[in-house]
Amino acid sequence: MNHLSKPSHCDFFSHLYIEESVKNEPLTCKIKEKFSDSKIIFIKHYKDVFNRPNQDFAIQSKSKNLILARREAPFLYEGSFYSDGFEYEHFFYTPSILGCLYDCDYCYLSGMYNSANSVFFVNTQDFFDAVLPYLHKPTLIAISYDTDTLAIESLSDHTKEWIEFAQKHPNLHLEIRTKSANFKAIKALHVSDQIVLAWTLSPQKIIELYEHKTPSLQRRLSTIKEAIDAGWRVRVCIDPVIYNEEFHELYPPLIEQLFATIEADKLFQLTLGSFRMSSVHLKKIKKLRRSDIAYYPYEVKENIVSYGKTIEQNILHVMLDKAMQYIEKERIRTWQLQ
Amino acid sequence: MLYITVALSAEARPLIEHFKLTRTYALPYTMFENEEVKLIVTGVGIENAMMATSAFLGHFPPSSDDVFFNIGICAAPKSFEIGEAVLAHKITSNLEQKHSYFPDILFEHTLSECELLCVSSPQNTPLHVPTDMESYGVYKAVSRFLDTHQILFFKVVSDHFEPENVSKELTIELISKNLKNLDAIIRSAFYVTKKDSLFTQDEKEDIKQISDCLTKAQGDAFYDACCYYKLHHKKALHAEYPLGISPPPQKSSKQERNKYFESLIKTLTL
Repeated sequence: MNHLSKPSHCDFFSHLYIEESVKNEPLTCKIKEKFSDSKIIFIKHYKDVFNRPNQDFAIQSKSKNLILARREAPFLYEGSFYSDGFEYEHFFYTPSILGCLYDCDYCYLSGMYNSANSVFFVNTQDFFDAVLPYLHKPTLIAISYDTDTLAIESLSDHTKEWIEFAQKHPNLHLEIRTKSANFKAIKALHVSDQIVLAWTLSPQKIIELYEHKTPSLQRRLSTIKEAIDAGWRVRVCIDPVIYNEEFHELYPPLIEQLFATIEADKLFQLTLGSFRMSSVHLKKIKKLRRSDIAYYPYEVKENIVSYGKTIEQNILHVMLDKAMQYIEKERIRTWQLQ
Repeated sequence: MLYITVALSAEARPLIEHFKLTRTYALPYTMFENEEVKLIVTGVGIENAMMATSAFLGHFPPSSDDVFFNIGICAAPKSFEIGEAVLAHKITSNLEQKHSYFPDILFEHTLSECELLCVSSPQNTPLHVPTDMESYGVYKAVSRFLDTHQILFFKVVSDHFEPENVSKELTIELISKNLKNLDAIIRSAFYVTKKDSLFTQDEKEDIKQISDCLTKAQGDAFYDACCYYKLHHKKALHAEYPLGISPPPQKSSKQERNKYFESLIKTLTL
């Protein structure tokens, strides 16, 4: 028996948990083939693993595993109060993947789920079928809400399938929010005005401190430029802004850097917003004890924590002033609690 | 601390020698310990294992830095060699069909991983997975005390469903031959579990001293602010104001205390 010389964490997806009911699904077989070295563990229901009590989110984050399952209804949820619905009467998000490959300290997922593992629902067609009844009116679906679909695209062509589905239904609009630099996965698809690719940007220092395992600012900027040059609608989200003593040194230069990389006229929209979160989620994130973000003395109003009116307005004022040097206010979306 | 349960004295013997454990009489079970390891012999079967494990961990409550191992022999299909050590990543029971348990194995290792079926009696008929008689009860008890990544099941294959071939001597030999494997797994389990403490002992004492002078809500907010300071600045609380200074006098007015509290929070979170 050979012994490992030094203890180490497992690689991502060292273990695949597969619901018995989906073990023969084509997508399951494809993913199994991709991770042929992974240990396969058959389960009855994804919640038996994903919702186990006493999981350590922080420790699991270093060795995330994948759960393949069949989703039962509901396949759509009303868009959250914490995010922008862009005035669509029908605004939903779809929980087709739960959990994210990235590991951002400020993400509500670590306060919402017991597990750092990801659940991938392989019955994609059921999600599509659930959308159809709403398509008599313009409908916005956020497909990257409880995950970053583009980051996990190499597993399944999930984003590609949603885009192709939307292109068959003119009233269906998608927002694909991401930090990924994996634009090549969808580059060959037909460009469509129904799709908004929304990249979250943060200053490089904030990325290094809080957005673990995500692409660098430079890679995200290059990817954004590539998508815009290919003709896609791109929304850049500087949201959440993480406030600290270096705010003025970090964030206005980020806007300068953005517009030094891309032509302002070609940007579909810019979203600005400061950090906010449900107080319930923040309480759970505190227990992970891994980031100062969890412990800032936020103001709490109606179960939402935020920096409070003065700091929040200062953030938006500074950011708006800077952004409006490049684009008109009509293309800037802002999120403010007060 | 390393917590170990075994069902049989023969499984315990090589471990007692390996870890240099001495007998202790703290519980009505056969128990051995040293400064870093506690071991209990639970007896055979799910119920015995569950009761002994509950008593063991209830009497010596583990912390988030500790690791628990259930160690012992198991029967297995012929695809497993006699003497082979395995780690269980799924525990099922033929009595409680509905629910399975899933210990998290989050470290690299060189052993086989498998489902472990917990049965009520020694099996003469070949089953499709390795089989023991305690794991389900053990997990049920331990899961009340520890996180999923702190619970490990280390089993050594003793037979291919021929229980009549398993002797006390064979059991001792099989466990003894796998002590190097066991050491490697223990090392890795502690590596994954280890968490650096945010505060030093001195800092903890200072925080407590100041918190005692504040209301409960203020104390909680002060503790959060200390966490923010440590994680944000990554330096000792003692290096700057305020924890080197005296707390407010015990007989300060409510107004003075509130003012002191506000200045603490502001300083720590600026």
